Parts: sequence; structure tokens; C-alpha cells
Amino acid sequence: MKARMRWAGKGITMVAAMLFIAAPFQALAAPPQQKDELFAGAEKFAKNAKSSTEVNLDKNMLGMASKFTDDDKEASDLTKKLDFVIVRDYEYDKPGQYNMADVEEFRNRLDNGGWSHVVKERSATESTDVCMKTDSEGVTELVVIDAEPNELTFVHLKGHMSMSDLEKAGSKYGGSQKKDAKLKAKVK
Amino acid sequence: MSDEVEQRLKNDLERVAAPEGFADRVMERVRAKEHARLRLMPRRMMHVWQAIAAVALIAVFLGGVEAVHRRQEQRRAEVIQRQFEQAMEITQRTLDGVGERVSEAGVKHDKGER
Repeated sequence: MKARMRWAGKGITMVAAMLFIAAPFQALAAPPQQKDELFAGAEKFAKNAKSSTEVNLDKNMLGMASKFTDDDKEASDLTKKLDFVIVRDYEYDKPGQYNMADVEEFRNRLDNGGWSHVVKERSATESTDVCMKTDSEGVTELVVIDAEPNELTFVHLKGHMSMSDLEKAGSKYGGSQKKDAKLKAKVK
Repeated sequence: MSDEVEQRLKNDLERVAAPEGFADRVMERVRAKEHARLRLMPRRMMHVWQAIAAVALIAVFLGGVEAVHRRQEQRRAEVIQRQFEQAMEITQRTLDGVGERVSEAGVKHDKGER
């Protein structure tokens, strides 16, 4: 009986030691990516693309990034405000490399879910949708679907933000400084 | 009476010689105990040193794991930061483009009204 108890004790100690040693490695495992139902399946547009950019950042990842942008107050503020950032950008060599009907499928997803359309633009070759959700404090969610002949862009941001936050971050990271008073007025 | 007591005391307090080899046996036992004590001490000390070595080894191992973890986390954060910058740049560029088109549409609409 005593021997069995001793063996059980040794077993528990071994398991505890293994867990103790394995714990730091557990933290190294990459967390799952942010899921987005709005743009689920958008990867198909990468098929004929010259270049594609897919960014999926959830709250944890943004928190990690904010640790390193602490000296950059504007960027750090925005990373702290956002819950997730999902961007899909596909560039094509020539027009007609993606099917506009496929884009329509994604636009239709914005018809439900309490989205308000800020911009809805349609032409023969281009289409743009800017939708957002707001509360008393401002914008809580922003979706942009921009389909141009040579470029297709999907943007989904969630978190309390203002357009000036985005503008500051955008200009900081190389976006141009062209401003549109109408859009800004609508968003604010 | 007093003679009798005196005689008894004399008998009782008479010096008796130690059995043969008594001193040797006592000394042998003392030496054995001393030897045992000398043998036990290093073993106990060895356990202490083993424990110290084990703790030091674990500390070095955990320190190494922590350093690797921190370096990997920093690398990951740098990648995330670059992705964030890229995402913000694309977002801003797209919104700029949208803004331009909305402006152009507004100008055309205004001209049409006039």
C-alpha cells in the first residue's frame, strides 16, 4: 500500500513537472485568427490577382502591437480602440480578372445586420460600399467594399473609432492626405 | 557495630579492576561512531548540493525558455505591427479613393443642377 502511494506520488510529481516545463511552450502556440463572416470566402479573389494582401488582427494581436507602438501615440490609441482589423486587398494586372457577381454576394451580406450605408456607388466598371454601425459615442464598426477594375478591397474594422483616428493612422502609414469633407461630415 | 559498618564500606568501595580489554573496546566504539558521523555528513551535504544544482538547472532552463518566448513574442508583435500599418494604409487609401469619387460625383451633380 505504501509503495503504491509512493509511486502515485512520484507520478503526480512527474506530471506536475512536465506541465510546469510545458507551460511556457503553450504560450508560444499561435492563437486562432479572427473569424469574419462578412468576408468569409473572399480568398477566391486571390486566384487571378497580381498581388494579394490579407490582414486578420484580433484584439489580442492588436494589444500586442500596441505594446510596440506606445511611443507612437496615435497608432497606439487606435490599436487600443479597435477590436479587430480585417483587410483583403487584391490587385490585378488587367480588368476583368474577377467576377463582379461574386462581389455582389458580399455586398448582399450588408443588407442585414443593422448596417447603415454611408456610400453606395455603382458604375459600369466600379462599385463602392461604405457601411457602418454607430452608437451614441460614434462609429463602432466600419465596412468598405471597393471594387475597381484593377483592384478589389474589403475592409472590416470593429471598435470605437472616429474618422480622424483612421486618417491619422492612415497618413502615418503612408496613406495620402486627400480629404473628403462630405464623407467626413457623414461619418462624424 | 561501627566495625561492622566500616568493614562493609571497605568491601563495597574496594577498587575493582576493569575487565580485560575494556578500554580497547570503549575506544573502538568511539572510533566507530566518529567514522560513521564522518561518513554521514558528506552524504547529507551531497543531497543539499544536488538540490541546489537541480534548482539552478531548472532556473537556467526556465530563464532560457522565457528569453526565447520573449524574443518570439517581440518578433510576432513586429509582424503584427507591420500588418496593422499595411491594413491602415489600405483602409485610408480606399477611403481616400471613395472620397474623391464622392466629391467628383457631387461636382457633376452640382453642375447638372445649374
